[in-house]
Amino acid sequence: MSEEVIRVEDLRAYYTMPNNVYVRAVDGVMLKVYRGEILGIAGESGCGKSTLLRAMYGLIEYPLKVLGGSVLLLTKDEKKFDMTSLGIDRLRKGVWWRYISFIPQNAQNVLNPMIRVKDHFIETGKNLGMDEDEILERMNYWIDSLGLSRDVASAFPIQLSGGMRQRIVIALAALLEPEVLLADEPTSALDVVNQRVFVASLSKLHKKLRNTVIYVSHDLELLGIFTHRIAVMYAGKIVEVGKTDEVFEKPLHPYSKALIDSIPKIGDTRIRKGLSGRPPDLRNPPPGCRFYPRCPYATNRCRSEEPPLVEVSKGHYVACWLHAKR
Amino acid sequence: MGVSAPVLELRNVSKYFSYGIFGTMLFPAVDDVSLSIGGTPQIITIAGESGCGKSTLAKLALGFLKPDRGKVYYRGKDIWKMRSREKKLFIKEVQPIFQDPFDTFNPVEPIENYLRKTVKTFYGETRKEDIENVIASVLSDVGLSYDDIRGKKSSELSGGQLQRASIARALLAQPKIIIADEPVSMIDASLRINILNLFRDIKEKREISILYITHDLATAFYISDLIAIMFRGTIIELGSTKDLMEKPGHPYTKLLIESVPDHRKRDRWLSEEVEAKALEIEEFRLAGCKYVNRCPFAKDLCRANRPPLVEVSKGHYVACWLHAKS
Amino acid sequence: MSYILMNRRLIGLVAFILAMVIVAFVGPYFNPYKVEPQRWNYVPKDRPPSMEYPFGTTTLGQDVLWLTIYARRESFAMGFITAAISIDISLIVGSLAAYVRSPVASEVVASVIDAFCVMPLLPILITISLLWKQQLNPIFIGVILGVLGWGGFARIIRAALLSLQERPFVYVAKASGYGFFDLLIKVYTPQVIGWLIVAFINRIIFAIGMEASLGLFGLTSLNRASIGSIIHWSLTYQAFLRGIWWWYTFPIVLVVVTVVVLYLIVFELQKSLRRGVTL
Repeated sequence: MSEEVIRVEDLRAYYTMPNNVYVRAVDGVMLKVYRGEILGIAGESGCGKSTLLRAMYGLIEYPLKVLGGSVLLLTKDEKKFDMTSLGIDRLRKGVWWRYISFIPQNAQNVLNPMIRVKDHFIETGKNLGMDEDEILERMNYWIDSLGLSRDVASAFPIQLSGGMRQRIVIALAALLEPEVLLADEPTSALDVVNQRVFVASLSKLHKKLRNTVIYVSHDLELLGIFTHRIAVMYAGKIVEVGKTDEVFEKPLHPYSKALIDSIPKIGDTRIRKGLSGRPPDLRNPPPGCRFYPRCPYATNRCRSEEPPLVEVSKGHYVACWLHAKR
Repeated sequence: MGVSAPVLELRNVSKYFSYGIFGTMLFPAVDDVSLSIGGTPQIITIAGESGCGKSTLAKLALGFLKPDRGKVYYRGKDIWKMRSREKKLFIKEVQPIFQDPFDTFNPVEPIENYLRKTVKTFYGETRKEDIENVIASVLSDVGLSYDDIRGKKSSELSGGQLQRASIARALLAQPKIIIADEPVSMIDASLRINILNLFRDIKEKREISILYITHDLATAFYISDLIAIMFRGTIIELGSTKDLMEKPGHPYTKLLIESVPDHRKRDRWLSEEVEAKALEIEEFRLAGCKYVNRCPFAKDLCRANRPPLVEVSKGHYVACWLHAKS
Repeated sequence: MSYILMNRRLIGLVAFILAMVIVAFVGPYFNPYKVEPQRWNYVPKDRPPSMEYPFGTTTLGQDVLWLTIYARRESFAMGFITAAISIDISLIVGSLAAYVRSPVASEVVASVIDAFCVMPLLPILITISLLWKQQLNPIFIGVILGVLGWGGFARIIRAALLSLQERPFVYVAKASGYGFFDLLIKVYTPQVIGWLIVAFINRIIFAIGMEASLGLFGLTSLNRASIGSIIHWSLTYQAFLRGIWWWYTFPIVLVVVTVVVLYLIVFELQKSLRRGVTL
């Protein structure tokens, strides 16, 4: 039984809009992340997965606001960090890069085009109190591990391909070998081949460091390939969590099922059906289950009462009246 | 297939773009490509990674860009030498659908203006009720009602609705060929399949050919009759969906197919050592086979001479020295 | 359009400027003196502001209030002329640069635009004013500034049109049967009109500022009522040291207020025009 490394409890993270309107991007999320696992967070645009990841990292800036709940980071050396209340300055000083790192969306564009690759490492490392030799040693280690050649260190980011830049961002994130690595759709702009290289690199990193990886993506099949557990999000809530294989073979929530069914696979030419309709407006979500208008199994209860997230089989949770007992 | 058959033919078409300081260097985004579509209704896919030249090819086919070499023929006539009446017929019969549904309609006008204009230009209807009836009928074919879009601008509709409206607009011109450039890339996964099914219907019920451009092989295999794989401006393989799935000829095709995430095939996907090299403009400018720097089977012959497309079995063409005799 | 009308601050600012313009152009018809205010010695000298002379009088025996009104007329007329001329040239040259097919010609036009952008206007104006001091009046200056100062906006137009041409909604419009005029009026103009109004006002501000600067050097026709000449004469007669503050303060304050209000209008316009415009 693994220990927890991140505990999200009833998190409510909203975006403030003019006229005191809130977009309830993450609306009551409970999630446990275990040490050493690769957890995938899946969902379509607007479901709140990126917001959840940011809240886990503690990157809470206007217009994002945490209105309730907490995110606890529990480290190996028995420290506890309350990520949503510490504030960016405090996090930057002692928590980010050391215990937890973040690989943002379109990672290939976050490098500073004005400085060389190795200067990125040196700057970051110095801010964290490392000395130059140590920095360069680690940098070379990661460059080798990720299959890049040593000359990328003296190149400017613009001279490298998107795929190479992404791997450099991984190396930067891994500099101090943090316990948790968060990745927010880092490969959405890449082609499948480069995506494969990136994910393979990330897997290698995970094997070497034996750390925890949380990967957010809208590409369910991609998550299906390399994650241990998957959490499916819809309209600001987690609707299903479980072992990846279980969720794929026996999806319990109608939304997960529909999502899995609607992805075409090479070699399978059956006609598939997608969903109709749209997710609810998160400024004013409906009272009951948020999937109600689009659910083929909906009942009256679903319209008025929100189903809680319950454990249906070991480690497999779902929020649906089809499965929850009274 | 007579001279006036509604066939769009690209013959040895090349397009050069400039880069570098003062734009003095040139590279071929499309290099000597030949393709024909029309006649028998079918869905032909041009698949390739981002930057391979497929969008440029789409614009050349639509007449939005002029080829630097080679010619584009429609109904037997060079589209750049057509008289205005022939040109109008070309515009009517070869219609576009673009990737970003929010950038498809003029943001300051209600989208129905484009629909009305299309009807007025190509249908010949002038009375308001007739125009509305025609539009409403086509909208219902794509799953929308006139009230859904009445008076609304792009910003007031969702991506899925806008893309359907974009398809409706193309259909209103009563085209023979629709050229769709990544039409579902910006649509959520669960809604994608509906639009793909719509394309299937359009081909079968309205007998319209579709040139489908994508980087997502899974969707390509789902709806296509023929698939052409593009790499750095050249078509390296062309064949039926069955041929490509069962007997892919080109090493790049094999790599692409294997890199598509499929949770059932994870061991192979994760373990294979894939080296993704830089997207270098230089690769576009190679005189020989453009894949030579990445190909595990590369020989001197490949570097020196570009392999022609040869027929390896009926209707299945591959451009690789492994298959062609020199 | 409605966003513009709903911005009450904007309406207020525009009303303020309009009021000043109306006073400047209609005012002269109410001139109580039988001569133009820039003539000398038609009123007692050096009187401070009072009921009889609300803005006081100058050392040359001029009524500052009427001097200011006439000078403002010249300023606004000049500003408008500069803006009208330069925006027209910018539009024509900028559009040309975007639509010319051959890449060489396109670069040539772009370089011409850049040349006009970096043209050193003050030295040129100083030279012109030394050569043609007598003919120099705000109208003339306005024309010169218009003919020389169109570079900035031409660049913007060129860049805007070049990027607009590539946008899918332009292609789709053509595929729907939109012709040249349809595209111009319904697609291109709405994107560009915001910038155009901003650039227009910008040119007015620029012209007014230039005119005042020239006056500082005495490089303006000194026998017309203009802000420049007021400043010049007040400096020549050492109004500051002699304590005749009303001579230069009222005109300068009005100019500053005008410029600030115009800037605020630009600012508010940019807020209101953002909807649907994707440039």
